[in-house]
Amino acid sequence: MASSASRFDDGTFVGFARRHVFVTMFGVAVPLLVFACFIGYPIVYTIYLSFFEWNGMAPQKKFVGLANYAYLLHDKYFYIALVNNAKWLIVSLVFPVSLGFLIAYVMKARLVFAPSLLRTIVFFPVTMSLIAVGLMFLLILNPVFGAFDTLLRSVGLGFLVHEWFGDYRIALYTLAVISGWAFTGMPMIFYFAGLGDVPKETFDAARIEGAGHWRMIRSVALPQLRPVTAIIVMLTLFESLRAFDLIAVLTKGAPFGMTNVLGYLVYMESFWNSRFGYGAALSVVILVIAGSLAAVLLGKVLKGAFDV
Amino acid sequence: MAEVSLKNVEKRYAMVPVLSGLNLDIADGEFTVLVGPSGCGKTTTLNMIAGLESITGGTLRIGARDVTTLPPKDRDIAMVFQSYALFPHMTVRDNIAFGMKIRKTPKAEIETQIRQVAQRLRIDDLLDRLPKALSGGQRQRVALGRALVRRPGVFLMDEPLSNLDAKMRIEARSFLTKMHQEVGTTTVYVTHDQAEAMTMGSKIVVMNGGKIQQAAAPLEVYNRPANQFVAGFIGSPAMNFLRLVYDGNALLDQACRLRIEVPECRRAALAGQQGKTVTLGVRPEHFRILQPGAIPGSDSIAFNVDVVQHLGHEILLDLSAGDHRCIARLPPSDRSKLGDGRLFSIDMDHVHYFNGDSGENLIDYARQQ
Repeated sequence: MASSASRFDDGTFVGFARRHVFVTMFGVAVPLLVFACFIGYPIVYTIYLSFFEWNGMAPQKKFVGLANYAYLLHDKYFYIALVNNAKWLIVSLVFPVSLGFLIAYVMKARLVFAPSLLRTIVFFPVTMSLIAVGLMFLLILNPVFGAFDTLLRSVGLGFLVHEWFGDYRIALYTLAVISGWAFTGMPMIFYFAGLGDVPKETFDAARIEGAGHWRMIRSVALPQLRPVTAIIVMLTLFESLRAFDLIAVLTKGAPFGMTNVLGYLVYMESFWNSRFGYGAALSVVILVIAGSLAAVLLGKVLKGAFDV
Repeated sequence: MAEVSLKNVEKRYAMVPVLSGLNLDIADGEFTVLVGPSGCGKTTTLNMIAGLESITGGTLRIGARDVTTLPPKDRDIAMVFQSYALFPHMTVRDNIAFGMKIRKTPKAEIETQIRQVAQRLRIDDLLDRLPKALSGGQRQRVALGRALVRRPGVFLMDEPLSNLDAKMRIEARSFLTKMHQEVGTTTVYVTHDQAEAMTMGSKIVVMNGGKIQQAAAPLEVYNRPANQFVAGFIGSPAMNFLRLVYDGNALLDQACRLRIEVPECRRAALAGQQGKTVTLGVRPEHFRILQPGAIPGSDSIAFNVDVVQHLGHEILLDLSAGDHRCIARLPPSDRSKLGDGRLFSIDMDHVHYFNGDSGENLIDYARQQ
């Protein structure tokens, strides 16, 4: 008995699994089952559905092969949504991620008064529903009685007043900035935790050598925060591709589909135009884009970020 | 090079004083070691000299300048940290060049300086490696290299050897001492290891509870400790302390029938202690074992041997007499065994007498000289 235990007790998972067969089977099977039911099955079914034409109601689905994908290649709304997603991603990477990092840095470097209060305030919107955020900004940016336009006029910046959701040139950016406002707390909290793990002595050493804050951010903090940045970039990427709530509440893709993004296009095609097969094909494309971007980011841009 | 002078330096955290009334003068080129137990304020003192901690009272001068409120970069210092604080994403070359790049030193000069320092520190074949590919000793040398290229007036070192194993620590100790002799830069070195302090420093500053207990040359601190704390902290094994009552002629412990005659020459120093508790300090090497049958003298004590530690070149005996516990250092030829009752004499020329309450050394060595 003792000899068989010691034979498998080599400190590896395989050794453990051989000694505790039931625990291992149960521990692996349950999460696998949950994953298969709630993530695996929808993905597989979406891929399956993308080869059919179906209105969501008819008992029979019509097999169309790759026709949905062929249609997609010539759909201008798909390209508008794709470009909008790219713009959304860029705004999200620049605005909330940079701002989140800067807020985390100034809090960690104790350059602000009451850092805990600031942290709470910045993180608070993350806990809010995006629907509630959307409704709130619908009031704040209302062209007739919105607080933001009133504020701009009262400080003499009336020339900046716009139809924030109505002007096709800026509507998408308005949405992305609102999304960024709600999302800033997330990178901030990640970076704040990450900065706590950066050895204080490396900052002290840089200070003694004469580094200012900009140099410390560039040469000391950010290079040591690459794993955190990698996670945040991934999260931002997936959040951007999933953008839906704010558009549904604020613009519904208007004006002229200029604020449409892929997530909202899937919803429109599936539930408004009753083209579930085409909606599924769009979803598969989102999945492929997300996977490819993640692979490129981790494999090239952030290569080795998790090597400690 | 520069001298360092602290005058009434204080440090408070939210009105709670952690360091008060620090006065210390470090001469140009001196290797000063701040030593003391954890939490005594030695690292805080070093950080205040570096400018990494603000000074809440008093003044700090480096060279001719008052640097109390200057930022670290303007203090003409370089620092080696306990963890070395190397930038993990930069190669050895970039780590050493970091400060020079900030100071916009010409590229050719950066390269020359890196090469010179790398050769001196024997790290010239490691310049393209990342810190994670270096051993502890190599990292320590890189950190030293980064400090050396600054050519500072003062080197500050915060326990730079504490992450090395015992063998490497001894090597690094010699290396640092030799480097100081070559470079001659004023150095302030923090350690909690009294052996490091004794072997490296030309001056030792013993700290406890946020105050300087004694600042003097290593042997001065060892042979003439200012108080019981210093006497107990410097030396390994630590000095033995026997709390006894002074009757005007001898130190007594009625309970265990202990009587140690105070030499005539010391009685003047103990004049005010009659009837009071005096702590007798005896270093382990100042016990002499008496052979069986020897006649007890006025300076002899009977001890039981509780533990025998054979160290090869010497033997340490843990001894007890009533409530008193002592450690004696004896030559390896000694044959004492566990449980033996042995008679020991004390070398009374080298004992110390401390006030039983304040711990101050009752012998005024300055006046003796």
